[in-house]
Amino acid sequence: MNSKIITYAAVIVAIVAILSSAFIYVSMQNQINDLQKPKPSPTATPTAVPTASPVATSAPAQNITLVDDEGFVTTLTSVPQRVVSLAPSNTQIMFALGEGSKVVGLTDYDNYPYNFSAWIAAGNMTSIGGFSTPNKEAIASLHPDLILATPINDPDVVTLRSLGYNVLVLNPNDVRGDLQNIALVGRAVGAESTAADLVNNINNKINAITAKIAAANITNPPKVYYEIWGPPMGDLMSCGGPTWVNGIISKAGGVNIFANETDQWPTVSSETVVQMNPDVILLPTAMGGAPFYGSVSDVAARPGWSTINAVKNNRIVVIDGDLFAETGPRVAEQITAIAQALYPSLFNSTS
Amino acid sequence: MTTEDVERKYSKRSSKWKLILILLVVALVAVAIGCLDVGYAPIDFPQILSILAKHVPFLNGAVNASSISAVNESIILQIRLPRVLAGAIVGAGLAAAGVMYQGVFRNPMADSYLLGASAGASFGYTLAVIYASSAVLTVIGLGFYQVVAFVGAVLTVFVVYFMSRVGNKVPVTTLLLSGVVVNVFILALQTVFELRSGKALVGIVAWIAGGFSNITWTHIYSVFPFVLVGTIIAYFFTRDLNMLSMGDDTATHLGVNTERVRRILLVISSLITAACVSISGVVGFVGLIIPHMTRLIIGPDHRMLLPTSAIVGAMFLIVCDAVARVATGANELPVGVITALAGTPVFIYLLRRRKTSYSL
Repeated sequence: MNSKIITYAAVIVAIVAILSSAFIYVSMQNQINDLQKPKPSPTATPTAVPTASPVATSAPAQNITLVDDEGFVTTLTSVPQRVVSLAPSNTQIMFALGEGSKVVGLTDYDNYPYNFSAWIAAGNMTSIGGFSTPNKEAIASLHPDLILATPINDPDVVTLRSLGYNVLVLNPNDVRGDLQNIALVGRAVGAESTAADLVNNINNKINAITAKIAAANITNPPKVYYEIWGPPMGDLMSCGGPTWVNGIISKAGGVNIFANETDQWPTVSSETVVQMNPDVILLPTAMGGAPFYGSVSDVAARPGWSTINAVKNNRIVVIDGDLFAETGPRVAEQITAIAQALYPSLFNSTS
Repeated sequence: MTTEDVERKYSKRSSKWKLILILLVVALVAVAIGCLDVGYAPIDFPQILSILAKHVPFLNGAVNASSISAVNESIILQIRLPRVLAGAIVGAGLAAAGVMYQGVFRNPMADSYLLGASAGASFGYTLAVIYASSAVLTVIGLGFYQVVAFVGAVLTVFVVYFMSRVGNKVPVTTLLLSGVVVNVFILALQTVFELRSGKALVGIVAWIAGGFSNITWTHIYSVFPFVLVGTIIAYFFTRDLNMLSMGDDTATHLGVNTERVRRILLVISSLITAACVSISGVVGFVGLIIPHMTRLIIGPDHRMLLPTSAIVGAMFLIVCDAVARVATGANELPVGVITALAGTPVFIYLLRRRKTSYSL
């Protein structure tokens, strides 16, 4: 009796196994066919990102070879016409390049340069889900020929590349990286000269700010504490050295008190902030402008913070969280906003 | 009762079992195909059936290939079908492993993560996410995260196992305690590294919550053998599990080498669990609740409990993942959230309906 049951169960399991293997085999054949198409070859070491140079990309048969911020080499056989952006910063770059019409899908968090939620609600744009959780099916139904990602999407990037999509990962760690990203996307979508103009334009604006600060002969640049997150919502979080925020603060003539941190977004202790004694505290609001930290006086009233210079001298400055949610083509505006916060007498009259 | 009486009673029961198993397998296939229809991209059901038929030998002649859009075909075959299969495999694997753990430990609280498989996998995954860029991933291969998570799970289980060895034996109490302690320790390490992970934290948290959003065919090939072979081997020990449920002494008197059976089943179930978590993240609840649910309906005989739990677990996770895909629009929910939300009420209902006391 007993052995009969074993045999019976084994037969059922075997049937299921055979059926599924048949399925797997057939689909694998399919995949192998896909894989036989030419694929981009990966390189391990990140090479220099190409800068914008005025080379015509109009020749249709010309391949475009691109190296992204993770060193991955992608070769595009034609100029992409359907672009999916997995991050608001990438969307901003596309629209700043005048290539916004090529964007066919973006995240629920995109809100600049247009109110994309309204576009999505009206059916004029497709949402591909959240920032960290892009929906593969939504992306595939858009059949994009280029996907712009960020490192937060790393696991998804691996999946998307294995499905045969061209993916560029943009990871600007400073102002230079941000401008290189603009040039890279420009090259990718055939807007190289527009990108070069845009980069020049941004550079001019930044140079004007840095020149003004240099002319003022500041001997003691202000120490800056930039609060990403904090009570009552959670622990204090600031930005370390390898971040675009740090780059922007130093371009604006300030010194990030956590610039020596190698972590990008370190959780810091209240004690350290008091000990570092910043001259200015920058408080970006949450997206949409809501203050997550309560009010400026709540921040000033944090235990022990009354000894901080910024608190004593009323230098707690609220900045627009929507502008500072991500970097991108608005980097000159971001630097201006911080320069105004750090040097009100230098900048507020002219802006 | 004469031997003949016993045999008659037994054969009546076993033919009922066959029927139940056949019905369950049919239901599983139906649920799997039905859930292929659930997803963000709207694709009508006849088209899904023709996409499937197109890739099945003998049936493909009947399909009009021009009616199938290439985008839909790629969505169904490259994105949705792997997810459904992964749901089935992981659900079956976790439920089968849960049956083994509960049987081996004779403890209703035992589940497939008891010996630290989930903690080890999560920790391995976290390290991989923090210290490997996707460039490295592309060079080493698609399954890098999965391999690291698998290694983490297996290593943790072995540490727990060897920690709790006393002489030649592995007493259940020390094993349970070491499991709990190592779980807590690894969770603490995990927190340390999570705090260092910065923006990648979002991805790590989402993975730990469990989900199938990044499943590709490679994952299926790498996990299916573990679950299939493991469950088949375990089946041959289900009689021994029945005897173990009467207590170690009784089982030993009935001729069961309890240490050996326990060791083999622990290795098998841990490998199955490690393989499952390595592709799905930590999908809680399936390994704990599905065996109990099935036991409430089918009864405590492990020969029946193991295969039925595996099939029910597969169906359960396929359905939960289908809900996770569409519950909140383009934003997916972690499937672990759905398993807990959906499974608890059903389980409480079953538990209350059976007013008599309940034991393993």
